[in-house]
Amino acid sequence: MEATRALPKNKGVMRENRKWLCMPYGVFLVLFIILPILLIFCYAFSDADGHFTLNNFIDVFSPDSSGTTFKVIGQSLGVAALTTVICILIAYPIAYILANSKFNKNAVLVYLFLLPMWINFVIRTVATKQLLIFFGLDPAMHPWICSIIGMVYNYLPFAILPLYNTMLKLDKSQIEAAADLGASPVQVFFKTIVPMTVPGIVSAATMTFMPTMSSYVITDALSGRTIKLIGGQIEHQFLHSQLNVGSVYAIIMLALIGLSVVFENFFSEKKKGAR
Amino acid sequence: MNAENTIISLKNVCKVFDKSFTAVDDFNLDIKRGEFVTFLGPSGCGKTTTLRMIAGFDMPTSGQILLNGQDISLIPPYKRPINTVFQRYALFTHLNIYKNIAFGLQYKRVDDLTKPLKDKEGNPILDENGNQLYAKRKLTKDEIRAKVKYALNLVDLEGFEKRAVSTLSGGQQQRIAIARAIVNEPEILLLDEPLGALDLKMRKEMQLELKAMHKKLGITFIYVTHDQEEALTMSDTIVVMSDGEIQQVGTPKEIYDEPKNAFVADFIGESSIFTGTVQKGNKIKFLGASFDSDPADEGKFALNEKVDVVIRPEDVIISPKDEGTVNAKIVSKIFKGMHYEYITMVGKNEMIAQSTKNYEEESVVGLSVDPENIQIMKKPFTSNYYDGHLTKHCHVSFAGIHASFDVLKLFPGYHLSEEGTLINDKGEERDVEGLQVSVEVGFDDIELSDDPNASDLHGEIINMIYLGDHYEVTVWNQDVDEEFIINTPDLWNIGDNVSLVIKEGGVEVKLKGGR
Repeated sequence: MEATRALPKNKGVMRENRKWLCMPYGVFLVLFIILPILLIFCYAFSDADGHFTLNNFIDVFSPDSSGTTFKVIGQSLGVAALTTVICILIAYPIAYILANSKFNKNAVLVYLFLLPMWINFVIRTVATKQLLIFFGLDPAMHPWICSIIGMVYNYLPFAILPLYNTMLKLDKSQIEAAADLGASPVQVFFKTIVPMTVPGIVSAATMTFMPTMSSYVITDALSGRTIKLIGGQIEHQFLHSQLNVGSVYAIIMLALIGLSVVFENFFSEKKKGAR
Repeated sequence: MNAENTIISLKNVCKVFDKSFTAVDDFNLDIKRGEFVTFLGPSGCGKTTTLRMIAGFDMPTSGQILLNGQDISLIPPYKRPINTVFQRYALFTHLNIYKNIAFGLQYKRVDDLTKPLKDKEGNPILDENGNQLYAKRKLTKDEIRAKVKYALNLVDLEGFEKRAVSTLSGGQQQRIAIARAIVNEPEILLLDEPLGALDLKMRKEMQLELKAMHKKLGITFIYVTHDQEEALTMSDTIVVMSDGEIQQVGTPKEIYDEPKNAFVADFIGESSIFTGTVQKGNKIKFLGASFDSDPADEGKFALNEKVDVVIRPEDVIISPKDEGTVNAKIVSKIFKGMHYEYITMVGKNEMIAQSTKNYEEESVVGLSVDPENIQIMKKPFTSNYYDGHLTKHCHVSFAGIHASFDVLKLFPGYHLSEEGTLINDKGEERDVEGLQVSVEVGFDDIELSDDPNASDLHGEIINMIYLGDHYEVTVWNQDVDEEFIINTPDLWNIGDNVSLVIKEGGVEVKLKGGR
């Protein structure tokens, strides 16, 4: 009798104890995510002496400097958007071929495309620069072309992977059904394959768009520092001890990333709704 | 068959996958306009592959598919006036019900009656039958809406236009899949095991509805299933397939009552299959007794020919002991609602019987069969056939012989232990004792010897025929009352007592259907 009564109580204690298992994660969360964000906000809303002020924001968006600010934001969005579109256009057919067992019998080819990901991207970028010069494309003369080539090269694997994963799960019978119902191969592609791969397209877009916005090392190396991304701006401010203004730029970048997350959710919600 | 009435015909169609696996072998079939044809067979028999070739998803390796006399075997699926209902529905999950059904309609082109085609001089352009040809146009939105509504009405799902596919039950999705196919008014509707994923009650309902739909629409239906009951319920014509080949084509009644071979008999409905010997006076011997055989079969078989005998459970008449043709012991009894199903043992052979009367298990009863219910089918006349059973040490016992054979061929994945029992890789033992088998010994696999010690099996030569380059000798063993036919190059005399030596590997053993 005693033993049976004791059992549920023990279980309850164990469940209580288990809660402590999440402690390391909690510490990590506070130390490396919440605290830094709070710090950024503190710096952004205070002056060099630590008093509360809105001057940092006013400075960034003041008539003298708003030109640079908007140029930086515009260039960040532009580079990110261009890279994303080109990446998806290149990655889509590659992923389709890789996912098709007729062409890619043992998935080895996938690794071939993912191989560059395992090399540090600074080294990759320096190498890209030399390669481009070798081919007669001087970054100083063609900053946009060279930067986009560098960006696409670096982020292509991030676009291929999610697309490849969606295409592996493609419902072949729906494709056959579309052909059966009278859709030509082109119509089958746009009416069934593209809609079915929307989740892959959305995650490929987020995987490339968000990091490219701030990958200033690549643009710095491949545009002769003529294209300034928001990440570069933050670095510049912090290196020149402008912690407060730099924090404002960091908040702007957070806002942009937040916006693209909202955008992505909007698309995946829409996808779910249609099911 | 009237050629004009034939909508589709398959001529010598073969399909070979990866250069080695033959899925469909020399398939020849004509299907009449408006017919309900079912391809029936176990999985892997090539029925779905055949359907996919008609739909255009697979190209035949060789042979022709003629639709209204035109070879369509190389035309892509979207150009064929054929629609398919897929096994797993294959509805477009990114579209709602209305758009799913309207999918095919947006590509459909119809005659624009306001625009008759004219040549340069203004004369009307006619087709070969002298009918006016018209320019083609797309369907209007109103036409599409009306057709979708009609199709939804037909499958009893009015008002489902706005619903998402995921909100529908399996049965409803199946109906939408059917609506999506028939809304295009195809010449042929292909159905690939469409009811496989539904529960029993739903399946029965849909069977009747599909049958009614077929009647109402007048479209040719080609239906693929492995469910023999479904095939019997719905079809005008059943095509029984096995190993990529047609076994039999016929109406459900023909297939059930007059199966052409043991495979069809075994696959369609329940049956007990035995090896019988044709005897004098229109009798057939099996289960150790002599049965009167169907007068209609008289003269179709040679004397002493080995044949397959098929008995349907419902044709077995159970009577008190010693009043039937053979006595049998009831070993198991299952109540099936309308009747009892008994598994009885006649000696070492199993016979399934049905009766509304209640008999006790373990009791001995008499069994008999009306002559017209005994189905006799030819076996290839190159081997001796016997009913047998396996013994404890993986030998086979038949016709009074214990013979060894390659038992591992019957049970892939097993090996023999030191004690001579069957063991698989996990160490599980398999008890094979008493398993029912059919045994085949080729005429060339037995040798005759006049040395009485050459084997345990002896017999008397009762018949001998000279066949040009060899003799066909019939040996009768008195103890077990069995006959053996042997091909031999040597001359023997009728009445000689001989020993029979079965050659190494000469015994072919097959397990009997599923039990």
